[in-house]
Amino acid sequence: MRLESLIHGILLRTFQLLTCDQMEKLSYDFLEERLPKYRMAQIHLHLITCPQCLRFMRSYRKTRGLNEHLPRPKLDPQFKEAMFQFLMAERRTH
Amino acid sequence: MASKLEETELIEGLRRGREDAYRKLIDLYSDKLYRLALRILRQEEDAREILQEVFVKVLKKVGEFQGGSSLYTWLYRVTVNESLMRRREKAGHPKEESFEDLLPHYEFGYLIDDTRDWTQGADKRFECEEFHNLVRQLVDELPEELKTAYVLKDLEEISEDEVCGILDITKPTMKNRVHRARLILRKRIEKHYAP
Repeated sequence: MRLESLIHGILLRTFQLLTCDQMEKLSYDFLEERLPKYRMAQIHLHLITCPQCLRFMRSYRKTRGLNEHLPRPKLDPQFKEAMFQFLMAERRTH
Repeated sequence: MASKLEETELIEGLRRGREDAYRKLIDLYSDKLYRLALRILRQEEDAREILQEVFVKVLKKVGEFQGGSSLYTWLYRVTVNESLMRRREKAGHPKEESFEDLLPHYEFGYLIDDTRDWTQGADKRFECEEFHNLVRQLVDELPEELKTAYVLKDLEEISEDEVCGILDITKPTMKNRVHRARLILRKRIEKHYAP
């Protein structure tokens, strides 16, 4: 793995492509789509050439979107009313 | 979130102890603050109690509220702090666990982890109660600092500036915490679904 990593690292630097660790550091802003165009293009290019990072980015994006799938619990109206009454009672003693 | 004018009127109403202001406070914020407390504490009963404590604090302290931050930010900050205190009272200080092995590893800038794809068919899996429980547990096990930033930013979808205000941290710190939380969660979900 070390030789493969070394060769890959040399190739990426030779052609001024992003390395995997550079790409990871940019992944937060990449998902927010607020990187300069050339950076976005560099990341897309990296993802085309690096299956490991493509899998990483897919799962990172899914992790960021977990909230879309989680329930958003709400309080029942009776509890809210009881809370209001409690606060009004507190207000009188305050 | 109330507009600036609405918020000013709301604060004034709360200071005067007006009933309609308290009703509005509950209407605007109770579900959001309850959900935030629940994400940190996981127990409905605890989250309800925290919400009550937060609103009592508003009642007692609104006269001293200077408006240096928005009411929204103040409420969220109090809820986070009260929830974390409650959690520590119940569970004690969690022992510091190392999450380094869950972060990506590189050699010469090249990713050397065996990254597996767990995203295939994930949307269907995400709808299951079992998955919701797993995520709740994994979020709960995050280090406190990462968890609060992640819950506010990713789960409650609060803007970056507001998250920084609530946690009183800089934007780079906030981004770093959310990013690390995502990396840890991503890897732990991978271990669960693509071992």
